[in-house]
Amino acid sequence: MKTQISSKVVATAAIVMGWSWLTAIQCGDVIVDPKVQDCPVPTYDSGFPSSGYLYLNKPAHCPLRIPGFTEVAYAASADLPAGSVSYDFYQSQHIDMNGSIWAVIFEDVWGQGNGRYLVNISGNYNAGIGGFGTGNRGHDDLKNGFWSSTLSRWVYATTRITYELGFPSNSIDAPEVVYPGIRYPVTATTSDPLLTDPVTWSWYVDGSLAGTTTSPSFKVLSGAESTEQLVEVVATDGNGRSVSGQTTVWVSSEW
Amino acid sequence: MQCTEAPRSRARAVVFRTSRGYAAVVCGQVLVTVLAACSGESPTGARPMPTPSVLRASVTGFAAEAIGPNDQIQLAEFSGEENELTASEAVNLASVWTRNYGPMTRGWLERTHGAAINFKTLKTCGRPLYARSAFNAPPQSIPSPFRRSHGPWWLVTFCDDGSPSVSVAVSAWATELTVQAGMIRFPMVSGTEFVAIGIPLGHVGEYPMAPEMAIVMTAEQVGKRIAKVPELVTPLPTDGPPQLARWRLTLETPTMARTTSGQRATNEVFVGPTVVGERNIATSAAAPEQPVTIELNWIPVPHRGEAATAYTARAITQTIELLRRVDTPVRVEPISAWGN
Repeated sequence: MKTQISSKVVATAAIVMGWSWLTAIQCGDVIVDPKVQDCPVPTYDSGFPSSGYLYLNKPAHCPLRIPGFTEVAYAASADLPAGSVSYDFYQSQHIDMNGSIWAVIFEDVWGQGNGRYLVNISGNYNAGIGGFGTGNRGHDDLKNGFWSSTLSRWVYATTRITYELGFPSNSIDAPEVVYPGIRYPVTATTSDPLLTDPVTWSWYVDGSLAGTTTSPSFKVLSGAESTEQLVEVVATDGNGRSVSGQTTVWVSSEW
Repeated sequence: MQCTEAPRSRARAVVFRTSRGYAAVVCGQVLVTVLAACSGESPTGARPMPTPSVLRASVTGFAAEAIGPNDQIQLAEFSGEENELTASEAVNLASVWTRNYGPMTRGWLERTHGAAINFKTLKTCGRPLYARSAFNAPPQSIPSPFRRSHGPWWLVTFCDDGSPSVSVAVSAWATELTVQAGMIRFPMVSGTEFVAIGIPLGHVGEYPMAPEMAIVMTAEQVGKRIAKVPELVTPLPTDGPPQLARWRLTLETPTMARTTSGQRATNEVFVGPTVVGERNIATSAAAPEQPVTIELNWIPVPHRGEAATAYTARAITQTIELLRRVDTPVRVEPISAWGN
């Protein structure tokens, strides 16, 4: 995943372990509830880097589905442009849903020799270390900060990684009913934090392979009138790890 | 951590082109002394590795004595002033990182490499190179991630399908890391152990540069031999990651060099890349003014399980002055012309 955050809009960005460069876009005076990969960004400071690229190949969406405490290896690179504010050090605090800190990462912000900045982040994120709460759900807060030598203070953006008890899977977004003989769009969303790009998505219709894609979207050819199609997807990453999911679609011309 | 100096400058090296075998630019003004050559930058990938005879003709003294039976320069052992990773330990950590963590930053690595990277065939190639800091070691009382920026680094080159494509810098002070079940085990307080960049397509040899190549390129440019064993010195973090370390080369006799700040005699040059993801190599001299100290900002670290609110209240940023080693310049200026 490469996320580009345009400096042409008033934007702020947060780096988050695993689900990282999250944008909070401010439209006029209205602050939109910001979410990237469905992980919200509840708080951020003014002065947080407002443009740049984040390279992080983790396709999972919130809430993550984990069978319990899960250690997730991750690495990310941020490429920040030169600006009026200098950022000299990055930190990320992993705070569980009880408000306790379980890990902190401090990464230097390196120059690139061309005015741009580079941050490399490597670590293991311990998802669910704070346990599960109501409804077998929980969350971790990733408090990301940059020390700004220009501002002489840390600027933070906090992202909330939500999770729930269960085995990782794919959910499929598909219409409930479709006309016969048409192609309809289906989209998969994975909740598996251990998947790493590049991921291939294999699509099965009624048990037969209908196609393989490198993005989680596909178009399925609907079947005959008054039939039900079973649509399945299997996401497999470069390490051979795979998760699957399925849904049914009703084919009818009367709806 | 914040590295500042007064005055603080993020000036980058000016790009020059060598006149030795590459697209040349004319040195506009004739120096008082005879110009030996325009120098400055040249693409590493355009040069093959030097032959043993060319290498031997480019060295004298200690540098000549350091040529081993494999026709490579035998570099000095690391200082060992404090507990450090050995070369093989660094290579092992870099290999695990590249296999299990590298694909997650594929986009960054491929952009700076300039082409797709085949992670399945990535293997270490060449020697791990040891780069030291120009600064004295920060006190051990400062949390490790803040110290590592100013410590020594191992630079490990990885090739895919036979050509250099990824450079992984591993802090030689990352001694808290272990590998278990294919994963790197990080302590509760971690960071600044790894920096990974793509190696510009077409690069030959280890990154940032094979010492033999730096020697021969400099000897050709200057017309003088290299007299001491080269060493790699990292730039200020604000000037570049550890991979932009420069080879510090000592000439057999001083020679006149022209830089942005004027013309002066020098017997020491610095050779290395100046921009992440670009192939240009700069030949530089120490700038006339060097920082005596830089500021190192750091904050206390949290305890495991500490309440975030309590930590926030006591996490006050602190500053120490870090002394530069008097024998090691850290600010350099590209050399635009040589004279006798």
